[in-house]
Amino acid sequence: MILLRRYLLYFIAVILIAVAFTYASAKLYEEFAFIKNDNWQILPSPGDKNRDIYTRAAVAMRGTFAMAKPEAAYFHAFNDIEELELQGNCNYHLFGNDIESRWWSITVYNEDGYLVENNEKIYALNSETIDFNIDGGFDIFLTNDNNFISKVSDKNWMRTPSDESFSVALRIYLPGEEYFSKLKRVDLPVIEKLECGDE
Amino acid sequence: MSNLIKKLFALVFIGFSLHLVMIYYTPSLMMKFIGRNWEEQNMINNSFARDLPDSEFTEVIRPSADILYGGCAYDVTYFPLVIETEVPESYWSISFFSENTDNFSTINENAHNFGKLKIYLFGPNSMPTKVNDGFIVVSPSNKGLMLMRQFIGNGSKLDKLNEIQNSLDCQLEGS
Repeated sequence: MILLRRYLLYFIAVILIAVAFTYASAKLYEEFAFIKNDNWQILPSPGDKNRDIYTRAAVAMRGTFAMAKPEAAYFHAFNDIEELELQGNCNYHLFGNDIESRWWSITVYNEDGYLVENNEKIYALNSETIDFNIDGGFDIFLTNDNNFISKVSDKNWMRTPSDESFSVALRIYLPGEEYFSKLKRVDLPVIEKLECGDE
Repeated sequence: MSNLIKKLFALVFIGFSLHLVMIYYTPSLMMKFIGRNWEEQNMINNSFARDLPDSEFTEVIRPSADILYGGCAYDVTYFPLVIETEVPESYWSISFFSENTDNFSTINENAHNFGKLKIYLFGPNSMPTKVNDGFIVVSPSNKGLMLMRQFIGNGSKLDKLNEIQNSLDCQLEGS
């Protein structure tokens, strides 16, 4: 009986150690595996068959069928340019220049990583649906405030969740092979907080 | 070294090994979880088509709302799979994911940009011969998933893209 209890304790200890390593590796992975470019982060090789086991596991959990480079680059933003978490009760201005590629798009996701419910049924804006400025740049507004929408733009806006944090994905398809060698420096849109509902 | 330290080292070593095993098998388990209903939905070696994702869509995390998805789950243990479709004028790609979710091959408009497309998908232990009427893809695992993505753009050609999506055909050779 004593022996059985001892082995049970060993077993629990091994499980706890494995869970602790997994938790620590997930935290360290967040810190070191992503390439950061202002408010955006990207895994350089999310779908590649030569990726390491940690990347493979992380991608399986976050966006299972990611494509290998050079097909697509997937950038994600969880913070604005001031490094503050994107919040549904705030309005944001996302602006930048057209991106050289076959096509690109911007999508807003709720806290759980799913598309945000909205009556307009607009879940993403892409390089064919965005209304570009005369100089080739664009201004998009991320908001859940109907009064704000009527003030800023008829077309270039997307609904954010009302009362939770959210994230933004920037997908760029066929940007060219060399794009992937300068992910830290490529020109990406900026997400700037305008005002918040409770301010 | 005292007995206690030896035991501690052994526990940490076994715990770390278990952690590596967990990490290694996470993608395969995720694939199994996603594909838990594929057989009863008749999606294995048969094509499927998905509507554009909306806020109700929770099958995969962070779905792309600009892409019309079609595809087929595959099992090429005994026979190769023959995939046939048309390709649109707008962006499209056909990508293959092995059992551990690796994107081991993608065919897109750079390889083929007009009309009908035929792909022969072989299993890891097969010796594919040259074919004259299509592409050959060899999967590193017998089971996996093929996804066809079509960019919807501004939605003006959605009817045509839906037609192409419905034309996708996956069948085991000889069946």
